[in-house]
Amino acid sequence: MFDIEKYKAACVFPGEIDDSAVKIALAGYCAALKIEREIVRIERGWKLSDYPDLQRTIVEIARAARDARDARDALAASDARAARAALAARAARAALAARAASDALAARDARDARDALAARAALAARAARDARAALAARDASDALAARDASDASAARDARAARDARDARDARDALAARDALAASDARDASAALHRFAKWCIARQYWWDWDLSLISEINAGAHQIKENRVIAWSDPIYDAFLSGASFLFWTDKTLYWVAKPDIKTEIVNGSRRLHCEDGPAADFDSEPLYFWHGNLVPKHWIEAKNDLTADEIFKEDNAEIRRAGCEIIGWDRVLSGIDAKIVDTDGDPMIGTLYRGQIPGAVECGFLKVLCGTGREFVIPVSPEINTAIKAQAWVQNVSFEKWMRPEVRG
Amino acid sequence: MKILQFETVAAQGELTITKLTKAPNNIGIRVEPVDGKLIVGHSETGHHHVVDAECATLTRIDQFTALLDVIKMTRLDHLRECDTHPSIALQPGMYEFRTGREFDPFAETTRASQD
Repeated sequence: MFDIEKYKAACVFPGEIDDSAVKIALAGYCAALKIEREIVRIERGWKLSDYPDLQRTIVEIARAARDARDARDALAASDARAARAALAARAARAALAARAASDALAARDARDARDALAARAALAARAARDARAALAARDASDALAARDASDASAARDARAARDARDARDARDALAARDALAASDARDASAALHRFAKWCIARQYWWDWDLSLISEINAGAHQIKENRVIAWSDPIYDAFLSGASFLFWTDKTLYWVAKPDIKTEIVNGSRRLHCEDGPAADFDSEPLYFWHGNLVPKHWIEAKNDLTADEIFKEDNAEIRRAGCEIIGWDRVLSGIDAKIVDTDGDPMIGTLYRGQIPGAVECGFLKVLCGTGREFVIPVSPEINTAIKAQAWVQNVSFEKWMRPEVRG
Repeated sequence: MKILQFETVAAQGELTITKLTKAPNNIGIRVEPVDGKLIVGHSETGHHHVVDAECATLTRIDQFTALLDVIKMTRLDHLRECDTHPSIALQPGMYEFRTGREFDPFAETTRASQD
Protein backbone atom coordinates (compact mmCIF):
# COMPACT_ATOMS: atom_id res chain seq x y z
CA MET A 1 0.00 0.00 0.00
CA PHE A 2 1.34 3.39 -0.95
CA ASP A 3 2.63 5.50 1.94
CA ILE A 4 3.41 9.12 1.13
CA GLU A 5 5.94 9.45 3.95
CA LYS A 6 7.87 6.38 2.80
CA TYR A 7 7.74 7.71 -0.73
CA LYS A 8 9.14 11.09 0.37
CA ALA A 9 11.94 9.33 2.23
CA ALA A 10 12.68 7.22 -0.84
CA CYS A 11 13.00 10.39 -2.92
CA VAL A 12 16.11 11.30 -0.91
CA PHE A 13 18.89 9.62 -2.87
CA PRO A 14 20.67 7.30 -2.72
CA GLY A 15 19.22 5.85 0.49
CA GLU A 16 19.59 2.16 1.19
CA ILE A 17 20.01 -0.07 -1.86
CA ASP A 18 18.60 -3.53 -1.16
CA ASP A 19 19.54 -5.66 -4.15
CA SER A 20 17.51 -8.70 -3.27
CA ALA A 21 14.39 -6.67 -2.41
CA VAL A 22 14.59 -4.86 -5.73
CA LYS A 23 14.98 -8.15 -7.53
CA ILE A 24 11.94 -9.63 -5.81
CA ALA A 25 9.87 -6.50 -6.50
CA LEU A 26 10.77 -6.38 -10.18
CA ALA A 27 10.11 -10.09 -10.55
CA GLY A 28 6.67 -9.35 -9.09
CA TYR A 29 6.26 -6.56 -11.60
CA CYS A 30 7.02 -8.89 -14.51
CA ALA A 31 4.67 -11.49 -13.07
CA ALA A 32 1.87 -8.89 -12.85
CA LEU A 33 2.47 -8.11 -16.52
CA LYS A 34 2.52 -11.84 -17.29
CA ILE A 35 5.92 -11.68 -18.93
CA GLU A 36 9.25 -13.28 -18.17
CA ARG A 37 12.48 -11.38 -17.79
CA GLU A 38 15.71 -11.99 -15.96
CA ILE A 39 16.24 -9.20 -13.42
CA VAL A 40 19.78 -7.79 -13.57
CA ARG A 41 21.37 -4.80 -11.88
CA ILE A 42 23.77 -2.65 -13.88
CA GLU A 43 26.72 -2.42 -11.54
CA ARG A 44 29.18 0.45 -11.11
CA GLY A 45 32.15 0.08 -13.42
CA TRP A 46 30.14 -2.13 -15.76
CA LYS A 47 31.40 -3.35 -19.10
CA LEU A 48 29.07 -4.09 -21.94
CA SER A 49 30.67 -7.49 -22.38
CA ASP A 50 29.47 -8.40 -18.87
CA TYR A 51 25.87 -8.03 -20.04
CA PRO A 52 25.51 -10.07 -23.23
CA ASP A 53 21.79 -9.47 -23.68
CA LEU A 54 22.26 -5.74 -23.27
CA GLN A 55 25.17 -5.85 -25.71
CA ARG A 56 23.03 -7.65 -28.29
CA THR A 57 20.29 -5.02 -27.95
CA ILE A 58 22.71 -2.12 -28.21
CA VAL A 59 24.30 -3.62 -31.33
CA GLU A 60 20.81 -4.03 -32.79
CA ILE A 61 20.07 -0.34 -32.16
CA ALA A 62 23.39 0.71 -33.66
CA ARG A 63 22.78 -1.44 -36.74
CA ALA A 64 19.31 0.02 -37.18
CA ALA A 65 20.80 3.49 -37.01
CA ARG A 66 23.48 2.58 -39.51
CA ASP A 67 20.97 0.98 -41.89
CA ALA A 68 18.80 4.08 -41.77
CA ARG A 69 21.82 6.13 -42.76
CA ASP A 70 22.77 3.75 -45.53
CA ALA A 71 19.26 3.78 -46.98
CA ARG A 72 19.21 7.53 -47.10
CA ASP A 73 22.71 7.66 -48.53
CA ALA A 74 21.65 5.30 -51.32
CA LEU A 75 18.92 7.71 -52.37
CA ALA A 76 21.54 10.35 -52.93
CA ALA A 77 23.86 8.03 -54.85
CA SER A 78 23.04 9.53 -58.24
CA ASP A 79 24.35 12.86 -57.02
CA ALA A 80 27.45 11.31 -55.52
CA ARG A 81 29.86 12.11 -58.35
CA ALA A 82 28.92 15.79 -58.48
CA ALA A 83 28.94 16.00 -54.73
CA ARG A 84 32.37 14.42 -54.55
CA ALA A 85 33.77 16.92 -57.01
CA ALA A 86 32.21 19.79 -55.13
CA LEU A 87 33.44 18.53 -51.82
CA ALA A 88 36.96 18.16 -53.15
CA ALA A 89 36.98 21.81 -54.12
CA ARG A 90 35.74 23.08 -50.83
CA ALA A 91 37.80 24.52 -48.03
CA ALA A 92 38.15 22.96 -44.60
CA ARG A 93 35.36 25.16 -43.35
CA ALA A 94 32.89 23.48 -45.70
CA ALA A 95 34.12 20.08 -44.62
CA LEU A 96 33.47 21.01 -41.03
CA ALA A 97 29.95 22.11 -41.89
CA ALA A 98 29.32 18.87 -43.76
CA ARG A 99 30.57 16.93 -40.80
CA ALA A 100 28.20 18.84 -38.52
CA ALA A 101 25.27 18.07 -40.82
CA SER A 102 26.28 14.44 -40.94
CA ASP A 103 26.49 14.35 -37.16
CA ALA A 104 23.00 15.74 -36.86
CA LEU A 105 21.58 13.10 -39.21
CA ALA A 106 23.43 10.38 -37.42
CA ALA A 107 21.98 11.53 -34.14
CA ARG A 108 18.47 11.48 -35.55
CA ASP A 109 18.91 7.99 -36.95
CA ALA A 110 20.32 6.66 -33.74
CA ARG A 111 17.58 8.31 -31.71
CA ASP A 112 14.89 6.86 -33.98
CA ALA A 113 16.39 3.41 -33.75
CA ARG A 114 16.72 3.57 -30.02
CA ASP A 115 13.20 4.89 -29.61
CA ALA A 116 11.77 2.18 -31.84
CA LEU A 117 13.32 -0.54 -29.75
CA ALA A 118 12.31 1.18 -26.54
CA ALA A 119 8.74 1.39 -27.78
CA ARG A 120 8.79 -2.30 -28.65
CA ALA A 121 10.04 -3.07 -25.18
CA ALA A 122 7.24 -1.01 -23.72
CA LEU A 123 4.64 -2.84 -25.77
CA ALA A 124 6.12 -6.14 -24.72
CA ALA A 125 5.75 -5.06 -21.14
CA ARG A 126 2.11 -4.20 -21.84
CA ALA A 127 2.59 -0.93 -20.03
CA ALA A 128 1.39 1.02 -23.04
CA ARG A 129 -1.99 -0.71 -22.83
CA ASP A 130 -2.54 0.89 -19.46
CA ALA A 131 -1.11 4.23 -20.39
CA ARG A 132 -4.29 6.26 -20.16
CA ALA A 133 -5.36 4.82 -16.84
CA ALA A 134 -1.83 5.12 -15.56
CA LEU A 135 -1.58 8.77 -16.49
CA ALA A 136 -4.92 9.52 -14.85
CA ALA A 137 -3.71 7.73 -11.77
CA ARG A 138 -0.48 9.70 -11.74
CA ASP A 139 -2.33 13.00 -12.11
CA ALA A 140 -4.51 12.10 -9.14
CA SER A 141 -1.47 11.41 -7.04
CA ASP A 142 -0.47 13.38 -3.96
CA ALA A 143 3.04 12.21 -4.63
CA LEU A 144 3.65 14.66 -7.47
CA ALA A 145 4.42 17.53 -5.12
CA ALA A 146 6.54 15.31 -2.90
CA ARG A 147 8.87 14.41 -5.74
CA ASP A 148 9.25 17.91 -7.14
CA ALA A 149 11.81 19.19 -4.63
CA SER A 150 13.61 15.91 -4.21
CA ASP A 151 16.77 14.13 -5.28
CA ALA A 152 14.50 11.97 -7.43
CA SER A 153 13.52 15.03 -9.41
CA ALA A 154 17.14 16.13 -9.72
CA ALA A 155 18.14 12.65 -10.90
CA ARG A 156 15.47 12.78 -13.56
CA ASP A 157 16.69 16.23 -14.60
CA ALA A 158 20.17 14.79 -14.95
CA ARG A 159 19.01 12.06 -17.31
CA ALA A 160 16.96 14.59 -19.25
CA ALA A 161 20.00 16.82 -19.65
CA ARG A 162 22.01 13.85 -20.82
CA ASP A 163 19.37 13.09 -23.39
CA ALA A 164 18.99 16.68 -24.53
CA ARG A 165 22.53 17.08 -25.72
CA ASP A 166 22.09 16.37 -29.41
CA ALA A 167 25.65 17.32 -30.20
CA ARG A 168 27.07 14.78 -27.81
CA ASP A 169 24.47 12.27 -28.91
CA ALA A 170 25.68 12.75 -32.44
CA ARG A 171 29.24 12.01 -31.50
CA ASP A 172 28.11 8.87 -29.69
CA ALA A 173 25.92 7.81 -32.59
CA LEU A 174 28.81 8.19 -34.99
CA ALA A 175 31.02 6.35 -32.56
CA ALA A 176 28.56 3.47 -32.57
CA ARG A 177 28.54 3.34 -36.34
CA ASP A 178 32.30 3.44 -36.34
CA ALA A 179 32.34 0.73 -33.71
CA LEU A 180 30.43 -1.62 -35.96
CA ALA A 181 32.98 -1.13 -38.68
CA ALA A 182 36.06 -0.95 -36.50
CA SER A 183 38.78 -3.49 -37.01
CA ASP A 184 40.31 -2.80 -33.63
CA ALA A 185 38.22 -4.70 -31.12
CA ARG A 186 39.18 -2.49 -28.18
CA ASP A 187 38.16 0.70 -30.00
CA ALA A 188 34.91 -0.91 -31.08
CA SER A 189 34.12 -1.97 -27.56
CA ALA A 190 34.72 1.52 -26.15
CA ALA A 191 32.56 3.18 -28.81
CA LEU A 192 29.75 0.71 -28.31
CA HIS A 193 29.92 1.20 -24.56
CA ARG A 194 29.54 4.97 -25.00
CA PHE A 195 26.59 4.33 -27.28
CA ALA A 196 25.05 1.97 -24.71
CA LYS A 197 25.23 4.66 -22.02
CA TRP A 198 23.48 7.04 -24.36
CA CYS A 199 20.73 4.50 -25.07
CA ILE A 200 20.17 3.75 -21.41
CA ALA A 201 19.84 7.44 -20.54
CA ARG A 202 16.77 7.86 -22.77
CA GLN A 203 13.80 9.67 -21.23
CA TYR A 204 10.06 9.14 -21.70
CA TRP A 205 7.22 9.37 -19.27
CA TRP A 206 7.13 5.60 -19.47
CA ASP A 207 10.86 5.39 -19.64
CA TRP A 208 11.03 3.64 -16.39
CA ASP A 209 11.98 6.34 -13.95
CA LEU A 210 10.64 4.64 -10.87
CA SER A 211 10.00 7.83 -8.89
CA LEU A 212 7.63 8.78 -11.67
CA ILE A 213 5.93 5.41 -12.01
CA SER A 214 5.52 5.24 -8.25
CA GLU A 215 3.37 8.35 -8.52
CA ILE A 216 1.10 6.29 -10.74
CA ASN A 217 0.87 3.78 -7.91
CA ALA A 218 -0.13 6.51 -5.46
CA GLY A 219 -2.83 7.76 -7.79
CA ALA A 220 -4.02 4.25 -8.58
CA HIS A 221 -4.69 3.66 -4.91
CA GLN A 222 -6.45 7.00 -4.60
CA ILE A 223 -8.86 6.26 -7.46
CA LYS A 224 -8.93 2.50 -6.72
CA GLU A 225 -7.76 1.48 -10.17
CA ASN A 226 -7.02 -2.17 -9.41
CA ARG A 227 -5.62 -3.03 -12.84
CA VAL A 228 -2.92 -0.37 -12.42
CA ILE A 229 -2.37 -1.18 -8.74
CA ALA A 230 -1.52 -4.77 -9.71
CA TRP A 231 1.58 -3.79 -11.63
CA SER A 232 2.48 -0.49 -9.97
CA ASP A 233 2.63 -1.87 -6.42
CA PRO A 234 5.81 -3.85 -7.16
CA ILE A 235 7.28 -0.87 -8.99
CA TYR A 236 6.72 1.25 -5.89
CA ASP A 237 8.37 -1.48 -3.80
CA ALA A 238 11.37 -1.53 -6.15
CA PHE A 239 11.69 2.26 -5.81
CA LEU A 240 11.54 2.06 -2.03
CA SER A 241 14.22 -0.65 -2.14
CA GLY A 242 16.69 1.47 -4.10
CA ALA A 243 15.99 1.16 -7.84
CA SER A 244 16.14 4.39 -9.84
CA PHE A 245 15.23 3.41 -13.39
CA LEU A 246 14.88 0.43 -15.72
CA PHE A 247 16.06 -0.58 -19.17
CA TRP A 248 14.27 -3.35 -21.08
CA THR A 249 15.51 -5.87 -23.56
CA ASP A 250 13.65 -8.84 -24.96
CA LYS A 251 15.07 -11.16 -22.31
CA THR A 252 16.22 -9.00 -19.43
CA LEU A 253 14.95 -6.21 -17.23
CA TYR A 254 17.99 -4.18 -16.19
CA TRP A 255 17.82 -1.81 -13.26
CA VAL A 256 20.06 1.00 -12.09
CA ALA A 257 20.38 1.96 -8.43
CA LYS A 258 19.57 5.43 -7.14
CA PRO A 259 22.52 7.74 -7.63
CA ASP A 260 24.19 10.03 -5.15
CA ILE A 261 22.94 13.52 -6.05
CA LYS A 262 24.77 16.82 -5.46
CA THR A 263 22.78 20.00 -5.87
CA GLU A 264 22.93 23.64 -4.89
CA ILE A 265 20.05 25.94 -4.00
CA VAL A 266 19.73 29.07 -6.11
CA ASN A 267 16.79 31.40 -5.54
CA GLY A 268 14.91 28.59 -3.90
CA SER A 269 15.47 26.16 -6.77
CA ARG A 270 17.72 23.12 -6.74
CA ARG A 271 20.16 22.64 -9.53
CA LEU A 272 22.76 19.98 -10.12
CA HIS A 273 26.27 21.06 -9.30
CA CYS A 274 29.47 19.54 -8.00
CA GLU A 275 32.92 21.06 -8.38
CA ASP A 276 34.98 17.94 -7.75
CA GLY A 277 32.94 14.93 -8.89
CA PRO A 278 29.74 13.73 -10.52
CA ALA A 279 26.58 15.59 -9.52
CA ALA A 280 24.39 12.64 -10.54
CA ASP A 281 26.46 9.57 -9.79
CA PHE A 282 24.52 6.84 -11.60
CA ASP A 283 26.17 3.41 -11.68
CA SER A 284 25.27 3.35 -15.38
CA GLU A 285 27.06 6.63 -16.07
CA PRO A 286 28.23 9.34 -13.67
CA LEU A 287 27.03 12.72 -14.94
CA TYR A 288 28.87 15.95 -14.26
CA PHE A 289 27.13 19.29 -13.82
CA TRP A 290 28.43 22.79 -13.31
CA HIS A 291 25.72 25.09 -11.93
CA GLY A 292 23.03 23.13 -13.72
CA ASN A 293 24.89 22.55 -16.99
CA LEU A 294 25.96 19.09 -18.09
CA VAL A 295 29.70 19.13 -18.82
CA PRO A 296 32.18 16.44 -19.91
CA LYS A 297 33.63 14.30 -17.13
CA HIS A 298 37.21 15.44 -17.60
CA TRP A 299 36.23 19.10 -17.29
CA ILE A 300 35.60 18.33 -13.61
CA GLU A 301 37.84 15.35 -12.92
CA ALA A 302 40.90 16.78 -14.70
CA LYS A 303 40.20 20.48 -14.65
CA ASN A 304 43.88 21.38 -14.34
CA ASP A 305 44.44 19.85 -17.77
CA LEU A 306 41.47 21.62 -19.33
CA THR A 307 42.60 24.18 -21.87
CA ALA A 308 41.00 27.34 -23.21
CA ASP A 309 41.03 26.05 -26.78
CA GLU A 310 39.03 22.95 -25.80
CA ILE A 311 36.46 25.11 -24.06
CA PHE A 312 36.11 27.36 -27.07
CA LYS A 313 35.47 24.37 -29.33
CA GLU A 314 32.22 23.84 -27.43
CA ASP A 315 29.29 25.18 -29.50
CA ASN A 316 26.91 25.88 -26.65
CA ALA A 317 27.44 29.24 -24.95
CA GLU A 318 26.17 28.02 -21.58
CA ILE A 319 28.51 25.04 -21.60
CA ARG A 320 31.36 27.23 -22.84
CA ARG A 321 30.66 29.68 -20.03
CA ALA A 322 30.66 26.75 -17.60
CA GLY A 323 34.05 25.68 -18.93
CA CYS A 324 35.41 29.20 -18.57
CA GLU A 325 34.13 29.37 -15.00
CA ILE A 326 35.69 26.00 -14.21
CA ILE A 327 39.17 27.15 -15.17
CA GLY A 328 38.44 30.84 -14.46
CA TRP A 329 38.04 33.70 -16.92
CA ASP A 330 41.48 35.07 -16.19
CA ARG A 331 43.00 31.71 -17.02
CA VAL A 332 40.96 31.52 -20.19
CA LEU A 333 42.05 34.89 -21.45
CA SER A 334 45.58 34.67 -20.10
CA GLY A 335 45.79 31.12 -21.43
CA ILE A 336 45.48 32.53 -24.89
CA ASP A 337 47.52 35.61 -23.94
CA ALA A 338 44.56 37.88 -24.65
CA LYS A 339 45.16 41.60 -24.37
CA ILE A 340 42.63 44.23 -23.32
CA VAL A 341 41.69 46.37 -26.29
CA ASP A 342 38.94 48.49 -24.78
CA THR A 343 36.95 48.74 -21.55
CA ASP A 344 33.54 50.38 -21.37
CA GLY A 345 32.39 51.96 -18.11
CA ASP A 346 29.24 49.85 -18.24
CA PRO A 347 29.96 46.19 -17.33
CA MET A 348 26.93 45.20 -19.43
CA ILE A 349 28.72 46.67 -22.44
CA GLY A 350 31.86 44.95 -21.22
CA THR A 351 35.58 44.69 -21.92
CA LEU A 352 37.00 43.73 -25.28
CA TYR A 353 40.05 41.48 -25.43
CA ARG A 354 42.00 40.22 -28.39
CA GLY A 355 43.66 36.86 -28.51
CA GLN A 356 44.24 33.70 -30.49
CA ILE A 357 43.21 30.22 -29.50
CA PRO A 358 45.65 27.60 -30.84
CA GLY A 359 44.32 26.22 -34.11
CA ALA A 360 42.04 29.20 -34.67
CA VAL A 361 42.34 32.72 -36.04
CA GLU A 362 42.95 35.73 -33.82
CA CYS A 363 39.71 37.44 -32.83
CA GLY A 364 38.06 39.60 -30.19
CA PHE A 365 36.52 38.34 -26.95
CA LEU A 366 33.85 40.45 -25.31
CA LYS A 367 33.68 39.84 -21.57
CA VAL A 368 30.27 41.06 -20.50
CA LEU A 369 27.85 40.94 -17.58
CA CYS A 370 24.38 39.63 -18.48
CA GLY A 371 21.00 40.41 -16.92
CA THR A 372 21.28 37.45 -14.56
CA GLY A 373 24.48 38.86 -13.05
CA ARG A 374 26.73 36.26 -14.66
CA GLU A 375 29.77 36.97 -16.83
CA PHE A 376 30.04 35.62 -20.36
CA VAL A 377 32.81 35.75 -22.91
CA ILE A 378 31.55 36.07 -26.48
CA PRO A 379 33.98 35.65 -29.38
CA VAL A 380 33.57 38.54 -31.86
CA SER A 381 34.88 39.37 -35.30
CA PRO A 382 38.60 40.24 -35.53
CA GLU A 383 38.05 43.75 -36.95
CA ILE A 384 36.09 44.97 -33.91
CA ASN A 385 38.11 47.44 -31.81
CA THR A 386 35.82 48.69 -29.04
CA ALA A 387 33.49 47.00 -26.57
CA ILE A 388 30.51 49.07 -27.68
CA LYS A 389 31.14 48.21 -31.33
CA ALA A 390 31.35 44.58 -30.28
CA GLN A 391 27.86 44.94 -28.78
CA ALA A 392 26.55 46.26 -32.12
CA TRP A 393 28.34 43.47 -33.99
CA VAL A 394 26.82 40.82 -31.70
CA GLN A 395 23.37 42.24 -32.47
CA ASN A 396 24.17 42.27 -36.18
CA VAL A 397 23.41 45.98 -36.66
CA SER A 398 25.69 48.78 -37.75
CA PHE A 399 27.26 50.79 -34.95
CA GLU A 400 25.45 53.91 -36.23
CA LYS A 401 22.06 52.20 -35.84
CA TRP A 402 22.81 50.40 -32.60
CA MET A 403 20.99 51.64 -29.48
CA ARG A 404 21.92 50.89 -25.91
CA PRO A 405 19.19 48.76 -24.28
CA GLU A 406 17.22 50.63 -21.64
CA VAL A 407 16.81 47.45 -19.60
CA ARG A 408 18.52 44.06 -19.63
CA GLY A 409 16.51 41.09 -18.55
CA MET B 1 8.08 38.71 -9.87
CA LYS B 2 10.06 41.62 -11.26
CA ILE B 3 8.91 42.68 -14.74
CA LEU B 4 11.08 45.17 -16.57
CA GLN B 5 9.54 48.04 -18.55
CA PHE B 6 11.02 49.79 -21.58
CA GLU B 7 10.13 52.27 -24.28
CA THR B 8 12.25 51.45 -27.32
CA VAL B 9 15.08 48.94 -26.80
CA ALA B 10 15.52 46.11 -24.30
CA ALA B 11 17.63 42.97 -24.07
CA GLN B 12 16.94 39.56 -22.59
CA GLY B 13 19.92 37.24 -22.76
CA GLU B 14 21.00 36.92 -26.38
CA LEU B 15 17.84 38.69 -27.62
CA THR B 16 17.50 42.39 -28.38
CA ILE B 17 13.96 43.77 -28.59
CA THR B 18 13.24 46.97 -30.49
CA LYS B 19 9.81 48.58 -30.61
CA LEU B 20 9.07 49.62 -34.19
CA THR B 21 7.24 52.76 -35.19
CA LYS B 22 6.39 51.36 -38.60
CA ALA B 23 5.28 47.76 -39.16
CA PRO B 24 6.76 45.96 -42.19
CA ASN B 25 4.19 44.10 -44.25
CA ASN B 26 4.11 40.68 -45.89
CA ILE B 27 7.56 39.48 -44.96
CA GLY B 28 8.68 36.36 -43.18
CA ILE B 29 6.98 33.13 -42.23
CA ARG B 30 4.34 32.86 -39.54
CA VAL B 31 5.52 30.86 -36.52
CA GLU B 32 3.02 28.47 -34.92
CA PRO B 33 2.76 28.34 -31.12
CA VAL B 34 4.00 25.39 -29.08
CA ASP B 35 1.92 24.52 -26.01
CA GLY B 36 0.30 27.95 -26.13
CA LYS B 37 3.62 29.80 -26.33
CA LEU B 38 5.39 31.56 -29.16
CA ILE B 39 9.09 30.75 -29.03
CA VAL B 40 10.76 34.05 -29.80
CA GLY B 41 14.22 32.83 -28.88
CA HIS B 42 15.00 29.14 -29.19
CA SER B 43 17.32 27.35 -26.78
CA GLU B 44 18.76 23.93 -27.53
CA THR B 45 18.67 23.22 -23.82
CA GLY B 46 14.96 24.08 -23.62
CA HIS B 47 15.41 27.48 -21.96
CA HIS B 48 13.34 29.27 -24.56
CA HIS B 49 12.32 32.92 -24.53
CA VAL B 50 8.53 32.93 -24.99
CA VAL B 51 5.38 35.02 -25.09
CA ASP B 52 1.76 33.98 -24.64
CA ALA B 53 0.38 32.99 -28.05
CA GLU B 54 -3.01 34.47 -27.22
CA CYS B 55 -1.50 37.93 -27.04
CA ALA B 56 0.65 38.11 -30.16
CA THR B 57 1.61 36.73 -33.56
CA LEU B 58 5.18 35.91 -34.52
CA THR B 59 6.80 36.07 -37.96
CA ARG B 60 10.33 34.85 -38.56
CA ILE B 61 12.32 36.71 -41.18
CA ASP B 62 15.63 34.88 -40.97
CA GLN B 63 17.81 32.97 -38.53
CA PHE B 64 18.53 36.11 -36.53
CA THR B 65 15.40 38.24 -36.93
CA ALA B 66 11.71 37.92 -36.07
CA LEU B 67 8.76 40.29 -35.80
CA LEU B 68 6.28 40.11 -32.96
CA ASP B 69 2.89 41.80 -33.31
CA VAL B 70 1.58 42.24 -29.78
CA ILE B 71 -2.21 42.61 -29.74
CA LYS B 72 -2.78 42.41 -26.02
CA MET B 73 -0.33 43.44 -23.31
CA THR B 74 1.90 40.52 -22.38
CA ARG B 75 5.47 39.80 -21.34
CA LEU B 76 8.59 38.07 -22.59
CA ASP B 77 9.50 35.20 -20.27
CA HIS B 78 12.62 33.07 -20.01
CA LEU B 79 11.86 29.40 -19.36
CA ARG B 80 14.51 28.52 -16.84
CA GLU B 81 14.16 27.70 -13.17
CA CYS B 82 17.47 29.19 -12.11
CA ASP B 83 19.62 32.02 -13.46
CA THR B 84 16.42 33.18 -15.11
CA HIS B 85 16.47 36.37 -17.13
CA PRO B 86 13.86 38.77 -15.69
CA SER B 87 10.63 39.07 -17.68
CA ILE B 88 10.05 42.12 -19.87
CA ALA B 89 6.63 43.76 -20.35
CA LEU B 90 5.43 44.11 -23.93
CA GLN B 91 2.78 46.74 -24.66
CA PRO B 92 0.63 46.36 -27.79
CA GLY B 93 2.61 47.19 -30.95
CA MET B 94 5.15 45.75 -33.36
CA TYR B 95 8.55 44.57 -32.11
CA GLU B 96 11.68 43.37 -33.83
CA PHE B 97 13.58 40.57 -32.07
CA ARG B 98 17.21 40.05 -32.98
CA THR B 99 19.10 36.99 -31.83
CA GLY B 100 22.73 37.67 -30.98
CA ARG B 101 25.56 36.19 -32.98
CA GLU B 102 29.12 35.23 -32.22
CA PHE B 103 32.31 34.60 -34.11
CA ASP B 104 33.62 31.07 -34.55
CA PRO B 105 37.40 31.48 -34.61
CA PHE B 106 37.87 27.87 -35.72
CA ALA B 107 35.55 27.97 -38.73
CA GLU B 108 36.15 31.71 -39.33
CA THR B 109 32.47 32.36 -39.64
CA THR B 110 29.61 33.72 -37.58
CA ARG B 111 26.81 31.77 -35.99
CA ALA B 112 23.75 32.44 -33.85
CA SER B 113 24.40 32.52 -30.13
CA GLN B 114 23.25 29.34 -28.42
CA ASP B 115 22.22 28.91 -24.84
